[in-house]
Amino acid sequence: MQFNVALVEDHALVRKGLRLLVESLSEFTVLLEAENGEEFITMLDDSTVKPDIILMDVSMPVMDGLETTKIVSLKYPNIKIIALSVHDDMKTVEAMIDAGAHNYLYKNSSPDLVLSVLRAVTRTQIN
Amino acid sequence: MKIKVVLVEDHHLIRRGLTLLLENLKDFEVLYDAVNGDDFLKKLESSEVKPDIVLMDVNMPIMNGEQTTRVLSAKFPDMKIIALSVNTDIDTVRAMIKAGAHAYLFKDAAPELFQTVINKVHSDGYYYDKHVIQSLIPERGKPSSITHHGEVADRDIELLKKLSAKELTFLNYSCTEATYKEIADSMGITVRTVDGYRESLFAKLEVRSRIGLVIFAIKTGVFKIY
Repeated sequence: MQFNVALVEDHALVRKGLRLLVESLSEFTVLLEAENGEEFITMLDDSTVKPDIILMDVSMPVMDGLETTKIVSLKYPNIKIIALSVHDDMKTVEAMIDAGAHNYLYKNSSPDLVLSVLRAVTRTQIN
Repeated sequence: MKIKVVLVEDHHLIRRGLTLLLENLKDFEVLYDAVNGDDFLKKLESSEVKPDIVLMDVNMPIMNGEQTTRVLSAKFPDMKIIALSVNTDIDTVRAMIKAGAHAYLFKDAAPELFQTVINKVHSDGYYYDKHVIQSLIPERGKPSSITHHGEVADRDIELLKKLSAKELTFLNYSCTEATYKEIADSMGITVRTVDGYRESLFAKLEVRSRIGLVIFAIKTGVFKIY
């Protein structure tokens, strides 16, 4: 089964690296890329195919990951959101989970962990 | 022939992503990566093949990009350093260029620019975009901080070149509250070895106390007070 992923991250180089990492697993395709929440929501609304999973940066200009997660989880409750951040404080983690994120990963996580979480989230969807 | 690159970046995921990106670009060979400046200097000393280009994150724990760049510029002047950061403020750009970086690239740069900058630095020795140039222009009405801030005396640069990676690590730890026992634990060595580094540094830097070490580290930018 093939899963579509969206990347919401303001740093283009990081985004490109994430795309390559995600697409190193054959079952994932990066469907959408956006550099902030506002741009992403517009893309998401316009896209006929919706992503199954979103990798969502927390700190972004224009509209941050927290605000975006709140909006997306209300409008599209079936899409799983994985927060991705350099922040490791519990307040940020809790806020993102409260906003609707299904998982929270630090940017210091190993690539293997990120790929495992992606796979785990897809299993949740199948069930 | 591929350009040999090393990545110094503390976030594992970003490190992996950038490695994949570089490998995907074909022109480059990633020799290895490092999680901070201290880790990098150790790997650099123990590896025979030296990188042409070092992609250096600015904010890192233990030894940050500015400190590492100063050491590299003194010890390996032919090695080209590209600062890579989320920080867009002029002070950070200026500090990295003053420390010896040959280019400064923001992490929101397009992947195509990333490739261009590495190639340019490799062929021309530097790449200064408008942000870098702007950072080097003194603010009107203020004395240029370039001439007053960050200048390292030639003699200190020569002294810095004489230090090994482990001595530099010890020098950094010497600027903290840690006791020599705690420094030994942090470096994974015995107190006796720490004593050896201390005596070696005293002799090389011609100082007589830990205060002398701290002053040298601050003067040369090996240790920075924030």
